[in-house]
Amino acid sequence: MSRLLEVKDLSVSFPTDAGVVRATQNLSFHLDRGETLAIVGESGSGKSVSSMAIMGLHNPGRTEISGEINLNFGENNLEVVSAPEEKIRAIRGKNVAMIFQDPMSSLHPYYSIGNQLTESWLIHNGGNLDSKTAKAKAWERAVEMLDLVGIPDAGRRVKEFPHQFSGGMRQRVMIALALINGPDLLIADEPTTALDVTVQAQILGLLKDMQKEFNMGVILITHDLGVVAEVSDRINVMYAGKLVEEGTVDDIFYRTSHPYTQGLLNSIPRVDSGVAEKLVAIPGQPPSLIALPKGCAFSPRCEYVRQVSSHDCKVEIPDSIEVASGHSRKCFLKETYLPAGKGR
Amino acid sequence: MSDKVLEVKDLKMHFAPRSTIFSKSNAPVKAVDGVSFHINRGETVGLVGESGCGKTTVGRTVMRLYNPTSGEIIFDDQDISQLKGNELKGIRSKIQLIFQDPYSSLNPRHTVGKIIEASFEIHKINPAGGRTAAVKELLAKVGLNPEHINRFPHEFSGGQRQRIGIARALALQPKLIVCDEPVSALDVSIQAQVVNLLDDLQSEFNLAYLFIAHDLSVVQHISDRVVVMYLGKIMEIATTKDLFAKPMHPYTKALLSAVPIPDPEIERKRERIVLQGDLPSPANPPSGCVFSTRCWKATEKCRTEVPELITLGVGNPNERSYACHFPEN
Amino acid sequence: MLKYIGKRAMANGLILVAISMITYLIFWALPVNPASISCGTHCTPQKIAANEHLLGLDVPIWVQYGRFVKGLVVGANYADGQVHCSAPSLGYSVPTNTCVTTLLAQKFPVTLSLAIGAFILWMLIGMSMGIVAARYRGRWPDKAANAFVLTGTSLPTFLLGLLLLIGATLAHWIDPITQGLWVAPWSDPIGFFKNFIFAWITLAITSAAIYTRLTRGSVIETSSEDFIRTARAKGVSEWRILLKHNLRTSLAPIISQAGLDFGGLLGGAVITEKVFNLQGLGNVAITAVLQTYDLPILVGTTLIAAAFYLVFNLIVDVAYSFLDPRVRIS
Ligand SMILES: Nc1ncnc2c1ncn2[C@@H]1O[C@H](COP(=O)(O)OP(=O)(O)OP(=O)(O)O)[C@@H](O)[C@H]1O
Ligand SMILES: Nc1ncnc2c1ncn2[C@@H]1O[C@H](COP(=O)(O)OP(=O)(O)OP(=O)(O)O)[C@@H](O)[C@H]1O
Ligand code: SF4
Ligand SMILES: [Mg+2]
Ligand SMILES: [Mg+2]
Repeated sequence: MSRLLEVKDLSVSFPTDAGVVRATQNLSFHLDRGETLAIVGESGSGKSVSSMAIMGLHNPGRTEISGEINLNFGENNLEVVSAPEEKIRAIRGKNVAMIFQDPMSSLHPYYSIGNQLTESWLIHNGGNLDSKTAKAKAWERAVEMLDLVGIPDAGRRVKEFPHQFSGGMRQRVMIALALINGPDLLIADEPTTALDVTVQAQILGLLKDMQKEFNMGVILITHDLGVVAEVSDRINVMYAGKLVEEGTVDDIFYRTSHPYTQGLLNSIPRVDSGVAEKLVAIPGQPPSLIALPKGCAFSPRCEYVRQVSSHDCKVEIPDSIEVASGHSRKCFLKETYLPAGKGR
Repeated sequence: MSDKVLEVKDLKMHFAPRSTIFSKSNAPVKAVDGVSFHINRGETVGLVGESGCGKTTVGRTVMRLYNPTSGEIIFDDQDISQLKGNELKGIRSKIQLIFQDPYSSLNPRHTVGKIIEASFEIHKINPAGGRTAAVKELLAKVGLNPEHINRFPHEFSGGQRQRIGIARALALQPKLIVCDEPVSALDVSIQAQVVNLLDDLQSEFNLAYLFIAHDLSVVQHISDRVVVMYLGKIMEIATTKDLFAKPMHPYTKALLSAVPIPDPEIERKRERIVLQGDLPSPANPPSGCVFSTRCWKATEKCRTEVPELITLGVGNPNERSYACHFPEN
Repeated sequence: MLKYIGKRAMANGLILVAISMITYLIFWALPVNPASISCGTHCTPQKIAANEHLLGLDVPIWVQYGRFVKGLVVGANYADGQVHCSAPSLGYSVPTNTCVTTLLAQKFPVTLSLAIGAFILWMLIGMSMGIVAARYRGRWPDKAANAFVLTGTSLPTFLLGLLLLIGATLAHWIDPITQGLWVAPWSDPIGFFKNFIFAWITLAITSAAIYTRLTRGSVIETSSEDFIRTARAKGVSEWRILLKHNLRTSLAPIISQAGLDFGGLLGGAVITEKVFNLQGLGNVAITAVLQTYDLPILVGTTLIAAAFYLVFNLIVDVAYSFLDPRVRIS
């Protein structure tokens, strides 16, 4: 059976007045049904840009995209980069759905929840029904979905407007909206970043349940490594538009192989660490995507540069190397695994 | 001079209802409703709780950016809750604020030097060696290049701007800094840099921090003691160690249990208390214990009787308080 | 909702009372005596006194105002009891020998046709060009719209009016003699249209240009909103995103702005009426101010203009609340 999602050599760049922004470069990864892939990395590392590319949401006039994004839904296969807009639109919201970071602004303030939910259903299912039956069916489905995502009194609340819902409730509505057509692939872009921890716990639980219910592949974009540890099967670590390390959760957390991943893990405090030691910060700033440093993009901040003798990190660009089956990194270091920091 | 740099007693900050031409509401928003705690000299007290529970309002009221509805704010052995005019201005130089948003809190049209110098200007202070030299020294203190004194805020990254904000707060040699979500807008790798900087400055200048954040892991890392708020009221106060190891209030327990730990092994084994429902509105808080609508232990008593804040071991270093009829442990 | 409208209507009534008082006060404070203007060349103090009596100016200002209010409520006799105007009477205009209410009722349809026609034209042109410009941002429709905005905003309106008038007359599209004589749209639609079309264009063009720019900006701003991205992610087509998701949000502030600008339209109407010889309120008011110094007509036109403006704003606010559920009136 072929994979649900296979991304090959995906590069996205934006020509701007200041220069070309290379938002992602040569990304390759894949995802199966029922699997959760987390994409982590600093702000601006290209997480959202790559997921928008999978949805075909980039403005073709102002974006340069190359590579392949193969989606395989059994009967409905598509290569997104080369597909015409109508074809992509037909799968958007049906086979591939997306949840965004800010539930406050992601729903239209002027339309009722029901209106927004039914629209999504009608676009993809209403075509072969007469309008009255279709509408009735759509509303039925909307109430059913609200119920499923745990909104009490769904029959009444479906007629309400977004401003009448709390942040957590709106994110539930967004999830209902994404799932109303039973998608095969769900992309959740920082779904809990704007929420409180107690509500975050509710939403992450809900996402896990929904994944089982619909047997979806899930891409979870986040910068919170705690969330990653909780829900993901595999992890892509991104830095400056490149995938610097990928592997299973345990690979990344216990057999860390890239200096950036190590730095990331060391710099976060943990609630269970007891004594307050000094945090090990990564020095410096992430690079500008318009003027990337020569060589390895992480080299200006990397503490291992001087330990690499085979190559010059500041001149040569490391290729992806498989350090174990399914676990690869882009780094010249001789050591395969890097020691865990003090905090861990 | 007492050990306490700040002591807040039964502080209330109610906002008058906002009525527009379209809607009228009559209940005041009880953003802070009877809060008591203290901060010792050179100590960091974390203030945590969900969005809208009143953390920012506590911070701003303590700084007297608002006029409190009632209660005492004792700063340096003086009740500042009713001060006005010049007296208030004098106190303000001793309590400084660091904001959450490093982008909007700095005037984009002023150079970094001017932004920091403004503090001297307002309080008519002339440091020995001149203002420019003092600003350069401050920049160096917070880890910025003193040569960048003539640059504008947009020429700096988020983390560097937060450093500028810190330099500005330090200029007047305050005794207390209210840090309102100082690292929330920063990337994890940059967060650590700023947290470490705050740590260093504290030991150097014997600063006290009121550290407001919703990220419990950062609070746990930086705080000596932690205050947990819920809907305008204090649920629990304890040393960081006690609070994280043995929370007494069910809300604290749920809050801690909700924080994901960046360790897959632990996450797989962990049992989580998932609270149902949302935070009620501070304009219309539940009767009895404010947490009773979401608490799994709540009984009739909780819904009718307001639990007092009970303090154990008053005066000793492990003193802790909680407001619950059925505490854990 | 009804309660809200009732409240607003009451507030509006109070505003109108205040406006009428202020108009009286201003008139009274001016160093001109209308009684001497209508007195003619062989003027004597006795004649002036008689005139003052005729005009009702021989009593203190509050009595004058009291009479005005009484006239509004029950009607009144004027010119020393020679004329009766029935309620609601806004007074009696001695120079024109008519009851102000009758006079204004005659002129009102002209100004209303002018204002509303221009308003519709300007909103239609402005919004549609703005929407198209935003949809095809950076491409030729956008550039064309931009050219229109630049020309429209830099043209002096009355000059354009004169040019149009001259051009249309030379081309025999309109007859300079009958131009401006009132014909009701239901009796002679084509005549009505011919009468007004150039005045509408004159009055609408600048605002249409401004509203093109406003609409374009608002639509583009809305298109970067998160909820538009959500709609796209649902698979909604671009046109439907524009028409259903974008416009409702982006036009709401424009419509409420239009409510305010409508007031300015009445000001512009005064000049346009003059140019196109339309016998509307503006023309009457100008004569009243510049030539006859006719207080009752001034008060009347001021009040009608103000009432017009207030009612229009109320309509806009109510319409806005239908667009945006967050301000929906309880
Ligand atoms: N339309 C665009 N035009 C120009 N640059 C863009 C555009 N969209 C994104 N970028 C740039 O591409 C880079 C990657 O952006 P992206 O949104 O993927 O980051 P991210 O990893 O999702 O970060 P965050 O955690 O902040 O969401 C950023 O530097 C951003 O400024
Ligand atoms: N100036 C004000 N007028 C009226 N209500 C206010 C005002 N400031 C805050 N509030 C209300 O008081 C409550 C507490 O707000 P506050 O900003 O203190 O919360 P917070 O704990 O800082 O939340 P967050 O984590 O979101 O920053 C909220 O319900 C808020 O809406
Ligand atoms: S390649 Fe060099 S610079 Fe890049 S991460 Fe590895 S050791 Fe560091
Ligand atoms: Mg993003
Ligand atoms: Mg706050």
